[in-house]
Amino acid sequence: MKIRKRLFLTALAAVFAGTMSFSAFAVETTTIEVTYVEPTIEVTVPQTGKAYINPYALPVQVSGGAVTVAGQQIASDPMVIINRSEVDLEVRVEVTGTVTGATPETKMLLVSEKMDSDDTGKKAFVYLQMERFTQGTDTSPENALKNLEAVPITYRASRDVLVLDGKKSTLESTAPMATLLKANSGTPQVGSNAAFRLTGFCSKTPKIAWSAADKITASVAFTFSPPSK
Amino acid sequence: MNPDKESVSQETSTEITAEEISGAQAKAVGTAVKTAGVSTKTVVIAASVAVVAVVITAAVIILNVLNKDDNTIGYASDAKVMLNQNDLQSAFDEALRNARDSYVALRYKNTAYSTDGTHFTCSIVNSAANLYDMFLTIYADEAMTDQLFLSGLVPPGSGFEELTLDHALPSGQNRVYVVVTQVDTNDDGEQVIKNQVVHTIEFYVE
Repeated sequence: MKIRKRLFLTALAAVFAGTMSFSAFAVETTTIEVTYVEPTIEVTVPQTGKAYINPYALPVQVSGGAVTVAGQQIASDPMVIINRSEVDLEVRVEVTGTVTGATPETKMLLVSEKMDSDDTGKKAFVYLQMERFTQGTDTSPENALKNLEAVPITYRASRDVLVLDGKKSTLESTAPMATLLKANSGTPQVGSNAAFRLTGFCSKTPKIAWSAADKITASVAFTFSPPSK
Repeated sequence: MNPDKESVSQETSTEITAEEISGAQAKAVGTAVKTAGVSTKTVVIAASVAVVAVVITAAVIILNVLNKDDNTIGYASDAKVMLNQNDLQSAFDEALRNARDSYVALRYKNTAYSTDGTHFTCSIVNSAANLYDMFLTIYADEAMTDQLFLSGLVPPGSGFEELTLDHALPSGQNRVYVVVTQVDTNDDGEQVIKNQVVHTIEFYVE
């Protein structure tokens, strides 16, 4: 009996020891919790820019006289958007135009393609162009204009957004107008900024003459998003 | 720049709240009469006094929001300070440049989330790189006819982590248009709009 009891107790002890050993060798799983931290978008955008109807494509002083734009029948202040985010950002815009004139009968018509040179209707073919900076990070009108020099003023359906009266326009494709590079600790690098402008063509000598009352307002709604790929 | 400005009044949604309270109080009167067995005259008078008090209070709050004489905009009570003093100080030079050049600095997250279509978690901040207070108007459509939200003034460094819309959005992804309007106070003490820009945010409803 004593032996059986000893055997039993020994076996019991062995079981406990084994259990504790199992506990000692039990695998502690490492848990890693992964949560998505959405980046904060930090950008600076201009409030307004002026555009000028310039049928004879004369040199026009824009940006309060800081720079001169020549050869464009529709000329505007060169405007800049600045990416100060820690991520690259794709830029898309929705543009809605509004036309005003002296009277409803004498106001211009915003068209969706370039008019013939001998068209005597009072028309304007206007579009927004955007180009990422390749030169410097200075956001002055001078540098903005320099970064737009290589952009042709002829309409590019895949890159330029039409301005239409009372209608929203976007790029025909889903591609962004520009991809702005991320800033370095809040400081933009070359490519973090983009310049944009309104440009286009208008009738040179319409039957209803151009007047100071003729205005185009382009309202721009920006969409900024990290690149999808 | 006045980062130390604090909310001075309730938000403009008080008007809707007052009507809701009045309705609830009217229901409470009916219920008390049926079940409490107390003097109905006492209950009705007490409830009427309560309703009148609420209506008067709401009217006072509304008048304060719209201001004493000339309909100025009050500060949003639900905007929180989201940037610290160091951020505000370091961005001050940029704020001066932006003000000079009519630029508006935006700081936000591109998505907001809700389970009921009305209450959203979000992040929309009046960047420290702005000199002026701002208010937000949010629309459901690009024509900006369907207003979802109108805030009070928010000083630089403050913003919203939560929003309650005027009406619910449907389930799924909804693109909304956020109009950021900067407001300054001129020498005559009048509020004037300085700059206004528009950007989009995706509002997701489960």
